[in-house]
Amino acid sequence: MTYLDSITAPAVSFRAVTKRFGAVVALDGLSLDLPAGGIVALLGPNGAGKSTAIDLLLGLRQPDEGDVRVLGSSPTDAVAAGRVGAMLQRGGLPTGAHVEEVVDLVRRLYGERRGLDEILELAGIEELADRRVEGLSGGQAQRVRLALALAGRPELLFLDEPTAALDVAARRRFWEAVRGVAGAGCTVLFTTHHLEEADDAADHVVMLDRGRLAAQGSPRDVRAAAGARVVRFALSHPNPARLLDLPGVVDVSVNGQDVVLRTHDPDATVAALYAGGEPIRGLEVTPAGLEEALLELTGDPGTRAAA
Amino acid sequence: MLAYARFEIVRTLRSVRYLVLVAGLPVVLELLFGSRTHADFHDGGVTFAVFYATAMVAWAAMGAAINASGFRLAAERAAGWLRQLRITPLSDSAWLGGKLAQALFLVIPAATLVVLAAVTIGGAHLAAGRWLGLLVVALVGAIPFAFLGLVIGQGVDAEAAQAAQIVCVLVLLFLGGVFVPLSELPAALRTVAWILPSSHLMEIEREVAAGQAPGLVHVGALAGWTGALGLAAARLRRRGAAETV
Repeated sequence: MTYLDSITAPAVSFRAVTKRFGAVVALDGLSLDLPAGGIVALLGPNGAGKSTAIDLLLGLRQPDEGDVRVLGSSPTDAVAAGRVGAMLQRGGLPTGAHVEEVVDLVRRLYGERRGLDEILELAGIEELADRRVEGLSGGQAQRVRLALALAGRPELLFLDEPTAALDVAARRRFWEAVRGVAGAGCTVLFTTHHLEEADDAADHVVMLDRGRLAAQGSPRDVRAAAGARVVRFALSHPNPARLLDLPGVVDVSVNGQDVVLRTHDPDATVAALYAGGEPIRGLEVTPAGLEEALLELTGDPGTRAAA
Repeated sequence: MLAYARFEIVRTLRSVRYLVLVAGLPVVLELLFGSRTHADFHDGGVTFAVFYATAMVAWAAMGAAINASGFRLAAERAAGWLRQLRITPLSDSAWLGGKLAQALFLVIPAATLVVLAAVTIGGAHLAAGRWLGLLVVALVGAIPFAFLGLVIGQGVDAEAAQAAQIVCVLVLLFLGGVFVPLSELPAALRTVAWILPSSHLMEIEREVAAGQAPGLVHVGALAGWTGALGLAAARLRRRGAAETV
């Protein structure tokens, strides 16, 4: 790879990756690119193939078909070079050790790229340094695991359900630390079941469904792709062409006097509607977020709402 | 690898009572029975007291090696620590090396205590150089058993691991000529015993105690077991870390 390749290349890329476990096809010809730098959310319902994709990009498993590249090399090479850090949902800590011993070990395994105090401060665990691992609460253990993920100053940081056991204040501190790290050039990839969190924190969203890519883009784009924001009202003389021109409107459907607009910016749409002067009756704006998008974009076609 | 080895050793030293458990039984048996004399005992150039001492040293070395990493490994696997380590640059061989260092760190005191008991109360008389040789043999010969401990700890789940280790140690001791001389076992069992590594360790110890050079067959057998078990342990490490089944 040339230097130019490396600054524009995706952080992670899957090329027609298939992975089977017996009769189950976990990933089905999956192709996607995750942009470097910034924070990416990996979403999808259970069984979508997220765990399998994670195992592959961390080098814990090999694909049956296709190719996975991490930071321009194979996942195992990237891990061996210490370019990847991870906070795993089912990752754990060793018993019989003090917190600072564990953090220091991982720090050294990565070649001492950060100072011990620096790591403890980043993860907010300075006061836990000489505690035994067995004595930590769930939230404290989680912050220690964040420290382990950050310890090596990796180029790719993977966080699996990172805020599950954290209270609101801890969660805020967590995202502050992560944004800081991302700002310094690290690519952050995280999974979560709290889709508002993905909406808030992510620059980029990747949604999987049944082993394939269902949608990707900024949270706004993915929400738009789901078409989940709907503005309904009644007009005496609806003009579809003019309605389509309203800001944010992606689709217009008129039935007599009833108008249904799909928009990715309902506020702008409604403001423009009222500014237009025509009297509107029965305005309804259905709330939407990534959760609706997830339901909309994934699962059996039969369960999707008719467009 | 050094950082990892140091980490594992410090952790192990913390559980002092564990050290006692591992080394305890062979030392106790040596103290109790080592000084019995069997004047008519003939087994390749050593007195009974010395033979008994070599058996207890072998027991201490094998037991310490198998149990050293095994007892924590199943729990580490369940807790996800092994998975976490797999994301770091710690290679399979560095991990094996660290675990091995930890195991051997337990073997040294265990084997030494038996030797001390044998020399003081057991009435076993041997030149100091040969005692030292025995300890070196115990240390090097414990390597395949340390890898066996890693295989057991990763191969079975947490509850079964404890029992599996005990059974393994007993089988190895019985078929190693520690409880009963191999010559007194039925032919079929003797063949099995010759395949297992414990009999070879015993033989090398006896040879060193008698002032002979270790037989190549025995050294080769232990080397073979070391390679096979080391590969198996590394393989299990790689397979065990994945999230998906």
